[in-house]
Amino acid sequence: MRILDSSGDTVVTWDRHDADSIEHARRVFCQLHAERRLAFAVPTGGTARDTEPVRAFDPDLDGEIVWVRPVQGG
Amino acid sequence: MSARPGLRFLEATPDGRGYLVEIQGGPHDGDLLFVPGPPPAHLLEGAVAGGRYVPPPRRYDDLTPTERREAQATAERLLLALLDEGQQADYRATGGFWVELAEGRLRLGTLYHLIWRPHGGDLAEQVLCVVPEGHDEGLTPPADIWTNLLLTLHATPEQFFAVANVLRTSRRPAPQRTPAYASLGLDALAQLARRHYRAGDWWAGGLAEHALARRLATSGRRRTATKCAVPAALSVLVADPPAEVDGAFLRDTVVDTAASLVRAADSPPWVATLVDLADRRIEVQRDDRRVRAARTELTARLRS
Repeated sequence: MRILDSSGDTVVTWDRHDADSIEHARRVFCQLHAERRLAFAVPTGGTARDTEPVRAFDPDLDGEIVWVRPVQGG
Repeated sequence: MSARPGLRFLEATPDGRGYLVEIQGGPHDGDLLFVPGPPPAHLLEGAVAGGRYVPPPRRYDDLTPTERREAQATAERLLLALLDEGQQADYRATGGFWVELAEGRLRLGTLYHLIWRPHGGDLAEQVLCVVPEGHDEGLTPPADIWTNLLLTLHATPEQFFAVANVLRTSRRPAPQRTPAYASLGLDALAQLARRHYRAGDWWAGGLAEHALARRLATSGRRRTATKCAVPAALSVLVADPPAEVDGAFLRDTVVDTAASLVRAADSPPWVATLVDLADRRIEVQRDDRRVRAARTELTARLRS
């Protein structure tokens, strides 16, 4: 998962075979979701055109989740 | 003796002035506390180890110039990875890029000035303003703003356009028509065309002769109509249209009229004669490359 922040983005990774890292990532997912951030999944090798919203944490996701902020009119 | 209460790190404030902790244990168990200053490392480590995202302690705007450059470079790597080759080239050259959607195209790259060009309809262009929440708090590098908008636009376009502020709208001009000169009879139309040609106004003369051709065709005199339509087409191809009209559109209309009449006539030698006559009429007054090029183009279009 990539979380857009002041460093550019912070990366949170997990190992599909490591329950602890999966649980860590799941908690982060829930935390960010509670903070009203939005998760979009980009499949491996894809571009923004292939983006889809993500509503639940899936440790077997093939691709990358990018966390962004909701948009508003300027 | 009871155990000392502990502190659980919650989050740092975006402006870096302090951080929030939760008291664990003791009479104030569950209370929240704001502590001025940066959070100590051991609290941060505990939070991360416990499965918590801890944002960087300083906003992007508060970083040193070197740190800002590094953060922007990181953000740009992500943004570029999400773009196709054409978008990447555009972004590197101009700082912006077009996003193609089913309904139109949108340009990202200038804050508060997103250009939206829908396909079809009478709306030519709109300037929109859409931003990520908190964008003006200096939280992220500029490239992250485009990543934020780009992903939202592709994944949830309805959300994007639902919140967009429309700053400016441009509409497409109404379709133009060739003048019909409805109040003029056939003879008057022919005279009008001749007057324009003698004055060297090939544009107005071509339109008048085109109107004459359409009137003749409607009344069933197709052969005579063709004799007017072909010279009219050559005239408008040679002429410079006035700035206020859609010259290309009107030229196509006049040439298409000639082409449809020629196809109905189905007599290539005769059509070639007509083009010769039209050519000679113009050449009497002007003999230049423009006329030769127009003749070549007209011949090709009449044969297609």
